[in-house]
Amino acid sequence: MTNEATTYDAAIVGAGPAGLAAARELSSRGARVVILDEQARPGGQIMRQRPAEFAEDGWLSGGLYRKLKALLREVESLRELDWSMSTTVLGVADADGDEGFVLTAVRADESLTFRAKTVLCCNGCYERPAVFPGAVKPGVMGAGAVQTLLKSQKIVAGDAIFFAGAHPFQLLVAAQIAQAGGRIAGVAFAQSRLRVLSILKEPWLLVSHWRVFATAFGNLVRLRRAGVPLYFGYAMKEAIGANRVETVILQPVDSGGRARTRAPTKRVDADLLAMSYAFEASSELARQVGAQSRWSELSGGWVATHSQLMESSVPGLFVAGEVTGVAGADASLVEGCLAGLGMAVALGSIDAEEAARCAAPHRRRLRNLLRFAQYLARLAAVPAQLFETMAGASAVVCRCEGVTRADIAEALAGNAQISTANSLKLFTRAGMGLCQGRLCYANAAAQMAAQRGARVETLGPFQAQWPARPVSIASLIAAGDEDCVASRTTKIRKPCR
Amino acid sequence: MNRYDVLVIGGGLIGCASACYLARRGLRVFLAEKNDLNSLASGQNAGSLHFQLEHRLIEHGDALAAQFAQVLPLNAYASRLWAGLEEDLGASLGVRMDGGLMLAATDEETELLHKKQALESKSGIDTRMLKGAALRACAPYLGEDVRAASFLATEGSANPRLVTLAYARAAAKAGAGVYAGCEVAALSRGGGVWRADLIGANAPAARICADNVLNAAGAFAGRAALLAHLHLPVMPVPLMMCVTDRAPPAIPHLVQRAGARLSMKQARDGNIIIGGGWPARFRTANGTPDFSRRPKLIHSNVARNLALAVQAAPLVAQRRLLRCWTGVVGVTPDQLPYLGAVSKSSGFYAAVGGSGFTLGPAYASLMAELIATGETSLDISAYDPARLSSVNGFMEGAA
Amino acid sequence: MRGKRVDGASGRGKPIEVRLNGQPVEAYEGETVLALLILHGERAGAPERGPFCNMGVCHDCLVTLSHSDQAHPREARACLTAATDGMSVFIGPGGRR
Ligand SMILES: Cc1cc2nc3c(=O)[nH]c(=O)nc-3n(C[C@H](O)[C@H](O)[C@H](O)COP(=O)(O)OP(=O)(O)OC[C@H]3O[C@@H](n4cnc5c(N)ncnc54)[C@H](O)[C@@H]3O)c2cc1C
Ligand code: FES
Repeated sequence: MTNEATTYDAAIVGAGPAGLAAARELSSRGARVVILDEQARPGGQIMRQRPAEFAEDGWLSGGLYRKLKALLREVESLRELDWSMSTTVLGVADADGDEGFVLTAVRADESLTFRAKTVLCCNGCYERPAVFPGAVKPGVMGAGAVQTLLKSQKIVAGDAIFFAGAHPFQLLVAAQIAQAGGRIAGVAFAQSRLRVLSILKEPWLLVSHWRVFATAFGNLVRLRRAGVPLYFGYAMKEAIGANRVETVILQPVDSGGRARTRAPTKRVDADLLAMSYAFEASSELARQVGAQSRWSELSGGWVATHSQLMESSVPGLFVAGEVTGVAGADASLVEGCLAGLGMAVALGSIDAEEAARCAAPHRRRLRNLLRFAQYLARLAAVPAQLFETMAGASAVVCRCEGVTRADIAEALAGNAQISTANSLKLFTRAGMGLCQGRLCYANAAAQMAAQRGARVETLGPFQAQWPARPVSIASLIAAGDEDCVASRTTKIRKPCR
Repeated sequence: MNRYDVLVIGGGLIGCASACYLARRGLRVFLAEKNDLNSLASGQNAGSLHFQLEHRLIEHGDALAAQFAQVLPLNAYASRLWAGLEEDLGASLGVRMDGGLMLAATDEETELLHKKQALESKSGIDTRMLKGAALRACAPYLGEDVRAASFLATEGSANPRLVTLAYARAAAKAGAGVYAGCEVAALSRGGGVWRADLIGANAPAARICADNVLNAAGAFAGRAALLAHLHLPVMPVPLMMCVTDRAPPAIPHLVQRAGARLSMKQARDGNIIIGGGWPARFRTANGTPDFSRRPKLIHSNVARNLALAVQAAPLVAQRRLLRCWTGVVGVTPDQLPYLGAVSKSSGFYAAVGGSGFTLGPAYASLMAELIATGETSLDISAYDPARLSSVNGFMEGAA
Repeated sequence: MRGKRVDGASGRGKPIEVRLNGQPVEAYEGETVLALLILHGERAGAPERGPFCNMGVCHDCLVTLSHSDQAHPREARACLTAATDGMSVFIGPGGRR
């Protein structure tokens, strides 16, 4: 199916829970919607689907995923929806003079342009790597990466997998790996056992979120039974090995995350280290258009601000899901519903009163979910001094450009006038590589804040620039043959099943 | 206490370099920058060190080209400064002077190169025409469309990310007060001195006094001049730049095109930086341009700029575009810089316009000389802001 | 082999022919190039680093791919690329840097 120069009512970037929920809401009101996502199939990170060629047996079984899967299947079956999967969105810009927005994108090295009256940025979050010696070695991955390899590819990514972090998420992944027959070399939490278990002391939370707790508790028990060593109050000290990780060394830390120098370190052999310290909101696409953001220490760094119906500070540009603060799949789904309503209002298909009426139950549910998310975020918060303790001077902060803690310290000490994260980037190259600063921003900014005695929010984010991902120059030039951003013929597919 | 010889407005390359050279001459200098140092054009530019006449200067016919040729002596001066700058400032600045090529891909462009060469040779700039095998031997990376090129051995590039801050460090070392986050909000004159009201998070005092003011406010120099009740017409022009991922070393030269907007060089880190004066677009607020926000990228210009780069060096097509950015450059109506006193009686100077990265160190060095001694070792009368006296004659004395 | 396929070959697509640095490797339709790299203990793009995210962000899984029906090899993120029959995957020199 092709369609030329369509101006969509809504373009949704990100086919996770937020995007799917918004698409359902909008389609039900007759809007012309296109969903774009870099993955080959919809679902987002939490529902990374198996490839169409795989059998689906046992994919995301379990009550936690039931509602999400139902949403996914429902939206996949909507006939009037256009999908552009395997599509990397490079930028969103207001259409000069015209109403609405222009989205630039590439799919399989072909340049694409989409026009839409409203846009929803719900492109999720990513994992924040911790900085410690050996952290960039082959064999160190995010726990989420290890999980998605299992969910989607049915692959256990190592022979002996060690988990280290501060986020309860790693328990879930470890349990899933163990259940799939993988060997877990151990799980280390930076927090004390008491703090991790303090979750049980919140009865109102237990009641409203019993399923999550049942799962978490079940995971703990399952890992214990399988004889998996659990370490509490331990941080990563180093990952060592000749060409890849062979051994992890753990540093005992106190409740503030400071090294307990007299307690002995531990060594554990593992060929894969999965880390899970924190998540970061992927707000750069929204910020590229000029959407305002605010700093949120606990829920993902620079998060996009929004109205009650999820409209950003740029009229017509909506945000939902982790982009507004990392709060989990259920909250993302509800925000997607709200964004769908907000976009319907912007498009004139419903009036504000009806939207408010429809939004009321969602808003109640969101409040409840966000309260839980905040609680979880505090629990999972990295102890104040932890990152500082883990990072040796020679440890690499910016993976792509090889910029170390020492390089940053020296740049700051020698140039008193560097006062923003952007200036630091310009001077040190931290953030100038292929990941475009996504993986180093938080660590570089935290180091700068500590050294300058400033708060991170005063340093600002890295400037969000076009393209949102590095892109093949050959494909851009091919597109430029036709004068300006002429709307190109765009092949839109139904999701392959 | 708060009395200085010179107040420098602007912490870009020209301001920081001026502060450095002024302080080294023993003057008491206060530099005020309202944002971060190097955060506008000086940190956003392409980093070309171009001493051949640029494309924009020769495309408008002979008479204009002859007029523009007036910048050539300044080019020679700047080229000498750059050659010793890393040593002088004791810092790595990514200076690379391995030569520059201006390419011709059509007969008209080749002819343009010959004309340009004639102008340049009069000013002692030694460009060489290259063709055929000699050209390929010099630059094997060039695409087959390229027919000829003029080569100048002293051209090259430097790293805009590093130069301004190195000057700022040198200025501070020489005793200058360099303040980022400090805006000059008002200027007034009385008793033969300038009084400057300062605002901003890092302003060390609410007011300072200075005998002289040096306006180095770049694209916003017009506004800074108005604080002193003087006119300095400087037009902000929004431009864009592209940079690729790191590539193996392949392009040692600065590459420009005679008849099209292209500049290209490979940084020491391997990234290929592509620009050449393609415009971006000002964002608007209530219908008028909003100069306080970063201009908006025009995607079709990105594609055109990259296509020119690929035509010049086909290896670029194999790279990834890593990032684009936009910046604002200040352009004077006659494209010649303002270099000198805007108002001789009151000690209000300007160093603005032209190819401010390539020539910035030269502007700064000459202005320091002028303010400190009253004269310059190079004739800069062609850039004298006195050419604005038709308007400023009315304004003089109003401050 | 490092790590493993859960349930071995069952529940996957048809076996396909893929070469990794010139060597034929076991592969099935639907598998991503990153999955193959991991199973064969290979790093990707930069020699000193390993793939981190499996979601297109880190770019530490860049590989050069060539295919009998394509004129030019192309660079791609292994984690976002499905292996296809007849594909050759190159890592390291000739790939990047
Ligand atoms: C690796 C990982 C594992 C996680 N596992 C769990 C879990 O087990 N349980 C849990 O409760 N929560 C988990 N989370 C959190 C969970 O993913 C989120 O709560 C939920 O998916 C948020 O929904 P969303 O729609 O906001 O974002 P996502 O589901 O992340 O969807 C965003 C989509 O946008 C796409 N995208 C991003 N940038 C672009 C671009 N420039 N162009 C095109 N597409 C783009 C992405 O490919 C992605 O598919 C995980 C998070 C991560 C990062
Ligand atoms: S593994 Fe990070 S981009 Fe592929």
